[in-house]
Amino acid sequence: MIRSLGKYQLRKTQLLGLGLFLFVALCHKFIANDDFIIGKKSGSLGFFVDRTDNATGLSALIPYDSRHLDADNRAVGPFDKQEVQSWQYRHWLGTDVLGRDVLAGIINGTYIALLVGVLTCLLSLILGGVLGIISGYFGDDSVRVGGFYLTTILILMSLCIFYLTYGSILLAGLAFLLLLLVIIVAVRTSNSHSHRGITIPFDLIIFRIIEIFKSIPGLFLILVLLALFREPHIFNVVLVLALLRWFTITRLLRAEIINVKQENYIYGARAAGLSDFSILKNYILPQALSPVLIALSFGFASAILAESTLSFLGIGLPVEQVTWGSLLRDAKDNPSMWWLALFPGLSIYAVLTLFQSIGDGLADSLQGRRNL
Amino acid sequence: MLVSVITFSLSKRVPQDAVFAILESRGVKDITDEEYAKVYKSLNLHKPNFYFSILPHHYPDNLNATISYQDKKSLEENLSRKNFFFPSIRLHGLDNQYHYWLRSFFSGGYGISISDGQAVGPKVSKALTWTLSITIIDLVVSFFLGIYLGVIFTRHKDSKLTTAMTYMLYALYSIPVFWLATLLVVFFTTDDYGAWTNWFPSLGIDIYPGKSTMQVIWLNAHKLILPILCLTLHSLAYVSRYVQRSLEEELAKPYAELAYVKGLTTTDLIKSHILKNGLMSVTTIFISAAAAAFVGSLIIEVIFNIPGIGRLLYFSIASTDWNVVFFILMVLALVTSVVFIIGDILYTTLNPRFKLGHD
Repeated sequence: MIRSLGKYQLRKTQLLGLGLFLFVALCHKFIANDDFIIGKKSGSLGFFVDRTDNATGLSALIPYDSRHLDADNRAVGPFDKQEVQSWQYRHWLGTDVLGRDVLAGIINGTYIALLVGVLTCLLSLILGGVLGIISGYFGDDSVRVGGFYLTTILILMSLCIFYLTYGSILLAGLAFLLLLLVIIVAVRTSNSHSHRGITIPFDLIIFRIIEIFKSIPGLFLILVLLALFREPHIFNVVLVLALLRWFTITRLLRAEIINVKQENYIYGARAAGLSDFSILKNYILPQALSPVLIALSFGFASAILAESTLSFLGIGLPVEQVTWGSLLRDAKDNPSMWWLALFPGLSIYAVLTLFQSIGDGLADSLQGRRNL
Repeated sequence: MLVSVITFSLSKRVPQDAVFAILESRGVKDITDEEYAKVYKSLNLHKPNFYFSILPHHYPDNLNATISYQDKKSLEENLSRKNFFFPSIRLHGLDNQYHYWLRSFFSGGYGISISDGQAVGPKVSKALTWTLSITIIDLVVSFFLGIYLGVIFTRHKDSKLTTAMTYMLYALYSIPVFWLATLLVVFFTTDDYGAWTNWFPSLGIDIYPGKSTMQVIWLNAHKLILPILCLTLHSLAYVSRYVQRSLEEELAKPYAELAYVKGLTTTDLIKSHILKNGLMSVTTIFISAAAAAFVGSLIIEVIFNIPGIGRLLYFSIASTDWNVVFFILMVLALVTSVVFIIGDILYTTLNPRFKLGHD
C-alpha cells in the first residue's frame, strides 16, 4: 500500500506545504492561544493555564484565541496603529469588527479544514469503497440468491429499520444479527452457475442511487440536508459532505475493478480455488489503490472548498466558530477591511492548489506507469 | 418520481413546526388551540402521511389526527414505553398528504410560501428566470470564448504569451468562486481604495415595479456585469484548458501527422480536421460545466443580492419556508434532467459513432 504511493515522489514544495498545513492544524492549540501553554498558577505547574493576574508562564506564539475579543482593537488592519502592550501582542494580520485576531482565526480555520477534509475522505472512502467493490466485482449478474433468502433478507432489513425508528434497540439488534446470519448462510449456499433463484443487479441498484444524488446540484442539496439538523455542528457537515462525495470513489473503483477483473491472472486465481475475498484483497484492490488515492486528494480539496463555501454562506458550522469561510463572509460585509478578504482567501487557495497539484502529480505518475 | 417521495419524506422530518411559522408570519402573538387546529386542518396536516404506514401494533391508525402539540407529545411518550411490539401495516387509501402534495404539484397549484403568503409557483419561476439568464450567458460566453482561446493556445503553442495565459487561467480555475467574488466586491465596488478602483456599481438590484422579470433583468444589466464576470472567469478557465488539452491530444494522432506531412499549415489543420474531432469531447464537459454554473450562481446570487433561485433557496431555508425549498428541489431535478438530455443530444449528433445506451 505504501509502496504504490512511494513510487510517486512528492516535490519539495509540496512536502513543505503539506508539512506546514499538518503542523499548523495539529498544533493550533499551541500556536494561537490566549492561555499560557505551560504556566504557573498559585504555585502549581500545569498546561493551558488561564491568563489571570497571579499566573505566569510561557505564552503562545500568538497570544490570542480565535474567539478572544480584543475590545481595544476593533477592525484594525495589519499596518494600522494598534493599542497593544508590546510587539508580542500585535495583531499581525489585523482584527475583525469584534476585535478577534485574524491570524488566530486562520489557524483555527486550518484545524477545521483538516478535520473536515480527513473525516469526509474517511467516511466517503468507507461508504464509496464498499459500494464500489460490490458493484464492480459482483456486477449485475454474478450473485444469485434464492427467492426464499432474498425475501427473508428484505423483511429482516425492514424490521431492523422499523425497530430502530420506533426506539427498540434490543429488537433492532436482534433483527440485525438474524440478518447477518441469513446473509452468511445465503452467501455460503449461493452458486452463481445454478439457474435457480434471482440475480441481484447490484451495479444497477447502486447506479440508480447515484443518479438520484446527481440529479440535484451538489451545493443545493447540501444546504437542504444541513437544514434538517437541529443544531449546527461540524460532524453534520462531514456527514452531509461524505453523503455527496462517496460516489466518485465508487465509480472509480468500479471502473478499475472491471478492468482488472478481465485479466488472465484473476481467472487463474479463481481456477486455483481462491475465494472471492482473497482474490479481492490480494489481486484486485492493490491495483485499484492508485486511482482511489488520486480521487482522495482531489476529494480532500473539494471537501475543504465545500466547507469554506458553507461557512461563507453561514450554514452548517456554529456561528462562533471562526473559519476561513466565515472570515471571508465578514470581508464581504465590510469592504473597507481588505485584510479580511486577502489572507483567509490566500490560505484556502494555497491548500486547494496543494492538494490539487498532489492529485495531478499522482495522476501523471499513474499515467506514466500505465504507458510503460 | 423517487425524488418526489424522498423530498416529501424529508419535508416530514423538518424540525420546525409549519403551523407556528404561518401564524407568526401573520403576526398572531398568542396562539390559541382553536386557531392552531384551524390552520393545522387547512394544511391537511391531520391526514395520514402516505398511502400506507407500518406502525407498531399498539399505535393508533393515524398519529396526525391528534392535533395539539402537548397531546401528541404525551401520546408519543405513552406509546414508546412499550418495549416489545410487532409491526403492522395500515392502509390509508388516497386520502393522504403525499397524494395531495403530488397532485397539487402536477396541477399547477404549488402551495403558498409561508414567509410572505405568495404563491410558490410564480415566485420560483421568477427566480428561475434570473438564474437561467445568468447561467446561460455564462455558459455561452465561456464556451465560445473558451473554445476560441483553446484554439489560439494550440496554434501558438510555444509563444510566451500562451504560457503566461495558461498559467493565469489555471490559477483562476483554482480560485474559489466566492473568494474571487469577495475580492472583486471589496476592491472594485467602493471608494475605500481610491476613487479609481470604484469601477462597478454597488451590490443589489434595482426594483422596477410593474415590469416583467425579463425587463427588470435588462434594466439591471449594468449591475449584472460583475457577477457574470466572476462566474465566467471561472468556467472560462475550465473550458479553455479542456479544449486545449483535447486539441493537443488530437494533434498527436497519426491522421493529423499525415495531414501535416501533406503540407497543411497548423492553422488549416486545426480548422478543417482537428477542431471538429476535438470538440466532440468538449461536449462531454457541458453537463458538468452547467452544474458548476448553477452551483456558482447560488454563491454569486447570495453575494450580489440577485433574486435568483439560489438566493431564494438560501433565504427560504433560513426562514424555514419548506414549501418553497422542496419545490425548488423538484424544479432543479427537472432542470438537471433537461440539461442531461441536451448534453446527450449534443453528443450523439456530433458523434454518430456513439449510440445511446452503448457507452
